[in-house]
Amino acid sequence: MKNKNMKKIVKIRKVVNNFVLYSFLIIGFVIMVFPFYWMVISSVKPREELLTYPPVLYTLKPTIEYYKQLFSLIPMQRYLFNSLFVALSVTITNLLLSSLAGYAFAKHKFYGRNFLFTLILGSMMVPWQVNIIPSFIIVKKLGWLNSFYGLIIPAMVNAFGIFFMRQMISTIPNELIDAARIDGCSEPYIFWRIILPLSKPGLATLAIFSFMSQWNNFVWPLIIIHKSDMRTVPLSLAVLNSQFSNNFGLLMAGASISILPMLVVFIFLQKYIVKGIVFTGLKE
Amino acid sequence: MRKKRKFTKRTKWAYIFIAPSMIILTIFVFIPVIASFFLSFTEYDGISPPKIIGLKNYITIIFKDPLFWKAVKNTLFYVIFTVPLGIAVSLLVSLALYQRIKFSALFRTGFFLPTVTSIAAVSVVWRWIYAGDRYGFLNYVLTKLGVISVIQDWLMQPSTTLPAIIVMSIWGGVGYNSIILLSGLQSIPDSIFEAAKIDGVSSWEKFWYITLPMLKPVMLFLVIMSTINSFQVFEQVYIMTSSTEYFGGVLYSALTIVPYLYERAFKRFMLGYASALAYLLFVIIFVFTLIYMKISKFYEE
Amino acid sequence: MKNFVKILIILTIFCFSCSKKEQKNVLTIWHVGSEEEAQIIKNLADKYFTPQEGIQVVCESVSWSEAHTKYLTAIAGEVLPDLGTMGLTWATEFGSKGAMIELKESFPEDMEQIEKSVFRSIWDSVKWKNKVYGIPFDMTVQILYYRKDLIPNPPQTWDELVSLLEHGKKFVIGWGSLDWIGFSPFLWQAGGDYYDKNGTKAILDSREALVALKFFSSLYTKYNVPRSAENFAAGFRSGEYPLVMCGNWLINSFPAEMPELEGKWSIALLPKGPSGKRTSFIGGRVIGIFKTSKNVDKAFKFIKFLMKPEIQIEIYNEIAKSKNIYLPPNIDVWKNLPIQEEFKKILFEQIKEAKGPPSVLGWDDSTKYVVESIQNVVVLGSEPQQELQKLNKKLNELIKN
Repeated sequence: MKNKNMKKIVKIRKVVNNFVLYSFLIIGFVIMVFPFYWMVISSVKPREELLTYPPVLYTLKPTIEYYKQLFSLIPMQRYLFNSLFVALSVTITNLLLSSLAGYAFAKHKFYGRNFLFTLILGSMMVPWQVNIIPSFIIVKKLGWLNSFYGLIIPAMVNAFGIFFMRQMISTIPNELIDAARIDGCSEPYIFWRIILPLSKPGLATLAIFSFMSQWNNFVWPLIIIHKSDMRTVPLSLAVLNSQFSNNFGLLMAGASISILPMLVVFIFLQKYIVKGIVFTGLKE
Repeated sequence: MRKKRKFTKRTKWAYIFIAPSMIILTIFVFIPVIASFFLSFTEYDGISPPKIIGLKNYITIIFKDPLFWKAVKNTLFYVIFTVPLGIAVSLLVSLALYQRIKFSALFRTGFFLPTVTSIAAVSVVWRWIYAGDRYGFLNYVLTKLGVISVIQDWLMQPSTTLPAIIVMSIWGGVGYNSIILLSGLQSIPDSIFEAAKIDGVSSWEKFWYITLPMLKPVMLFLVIMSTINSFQVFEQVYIMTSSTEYFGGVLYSALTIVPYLYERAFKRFMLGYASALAYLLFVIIFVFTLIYMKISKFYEE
Repeated sequence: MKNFVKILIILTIFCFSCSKKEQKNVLTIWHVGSEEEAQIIKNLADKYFTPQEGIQVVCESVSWSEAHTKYLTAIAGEVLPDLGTMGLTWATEFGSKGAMIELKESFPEDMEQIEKSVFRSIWDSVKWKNKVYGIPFDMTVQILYYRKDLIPNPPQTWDELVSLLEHGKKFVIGWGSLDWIGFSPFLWQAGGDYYDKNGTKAILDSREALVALKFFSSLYTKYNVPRSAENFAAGFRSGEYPLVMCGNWLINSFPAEMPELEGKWSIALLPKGPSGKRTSFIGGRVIGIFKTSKNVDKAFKFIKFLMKPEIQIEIYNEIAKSKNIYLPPNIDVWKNLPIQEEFKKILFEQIKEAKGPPSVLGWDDSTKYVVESIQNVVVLGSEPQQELQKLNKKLNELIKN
């Protein structure tokens, strides 16, 4: 008898838990997604329906005129390519360099380690706005204005990436690494065969953030790119609109398109964050 | 003897691993940072060469610039609310996403959407939400639900501007923080949870004594990064409160330090002054971070 | 995996080599505005200018919000185009610091001609101490939009405006709400101004300025003018805001966005203040030449090209295709401008009776104090007279000579 009641209680508790969990998730989902819904809906509403009172959440006459305008007014394909190329290159190099440095800072003792790491951390505390002009002059002196060099190389590694990977790698148990070292494995081998595979969730996360920050990067490309065919997507969106942004639909179409690649990257990578069961345990 | 040789060999590799990063960081980060530090002791309008004026910028900022102190107050207010609330909400969300649920990929993508979008696109929609007339979306919803009786001009009232921006920032940061927390959660080996199950540990105890401590490095990272980023908040304030001629909200109620510095630098040609502002901010951030690190014994493994 | 890496390497080399093209003997222009406008300029150049002068023109657009930063960085890094369009006061800002060419000095006869052909009101705003660094490219002026079906007679004076407001008709300031751009027309309509005729001292402590500030603030505090104008277009459409004071840029887009309002709305001159004046605020863009340009003569020829009446009309027509509006600064052009007569008359008159930002050096540093004082009075309820006294002192301190 007692067993049956206990089973019932456990079942009820599970149902209640699930209910709370799912309601939380659904409400949160709606709050997070609603502004996008509005953005995408506005990008397909015909012009007369855009300025209505009270706001209407749907349209019966969807139109793709803004998207047509988007691709005819400017060479969006070229800009998409530019942004993609830059974001991918930066992400890949970022992953490599940040995890190398992160491994060194997390699992090695060497002279100057704490000092250098504090330096790196400190550099994040200086707002980038004041570094714009000195950075611009450096890039100009290197002859990298208006080029992919100027867009990619300065961003190839950053303090955030190193800090993040250091934290992630520090959770890898030392025993694992020591065992490999005792076995005579070289450091590069340990890095490539042990650290990297175990850092999949961290790497996937860093990849998402790297890609994202490069994709959305606005001010740096703004000041170093002077030729319109080298433009990146955020730049091209900013100049799309007429001076006083009358064309709300066009603005929303541009914004909707610009999210797509990011979304694709995220959907592709997020399973690594989840699937990354680090390891099933030490052989004790 | 053998130990000593291994030690130096390993250190050699450590230096090799950090070399490419350090080179790039030095050229593109450290040198500009040092350059702007020197600029803070000059008067520089970007056009004529910088003129050295010693500590004059700092003295003016600290003693003769009420707008600076207003910005400091606003920034502190912003940080104190955004960081804890943001992390708490994200922790809840990441724990929820960590459970075995149906449509988990869909939920994860949805929660991440705000972070993915550029702030420019997002703020157009938020300005519509916060619009101060009867039909601004927030006013519309709140009056229909009977929560408020008088419509609020959210972005044009000193008392509500900064809180409105804080809410928007938390909304935008949940995805970012949750993903970091999720990857931290995923790094906790299953074996530990299995052992706990065998030992008959309750869910609450599991959370408090296993999950949280294992999350410590990631949480610390998040707290530090959130603080650093929140102190440097720029786009949200700049875009949400910009009208043709000024930004920072009515009576500068939402002006934080970085927008102020940006305005001084790029609208008023006061690059030396702006650099000084940046370094004062740096000192504030540095002090906060140092306190965190001391408390959490950062450098001990 | 290996193939993927190979392809990546080839692509990388390809992309890096792509970006190294350099062009010689080209006139580069940066245009603050939309991409469309930049393309229009380029097309006109290709069609009419290049064949005659033999020099290619490249026009890059820059978005308004970051243009000031971009120009300043470019000046600091010494990477500038030949020509640039920019906000009205920017050319004076950059020019007075030595980054742009003083046009009256370099091209005296031509500049005299241009001065004669352009509206006085806008010329006064680009002139500083008898120096001109940028020639007007287009103009934007504040006017009243009103719903003819709800307000048959637009207010002609401040009193008429007040009586409309007292009868419950709502009014919105769409350009310059709660800042100096919205305040300026009222200041001038009351007979006051920021500085005296010589620009040597501030005169905001005058009786007229007090009248203006009191009236301006009463609009917000007594007559419920909304502080922000986010949704005013929708409000105009629904009739909730039948009266709007805004820049002229909506004239061509309203018909497209609100086709059902055809014939039900119009524009009007701003109401007359106690001094009898109905001065409006005029802004716009100018075009100037950077000192680093290697093609100064050709650059100036291009400016003259843009000022030609036929070209200005073509610019108008091209821009109107996307439902935007371009107001040419050249007076003669207006006879043939394809705007409907009713509107053209009003725009023409209002432009003649308009003023731009004060061309006193030190004004740009002062605007934030002006905004602060206005907001103190409206939001905090500070005493207008005291605020003006304080403000006047500050303005005087900031005048640079």
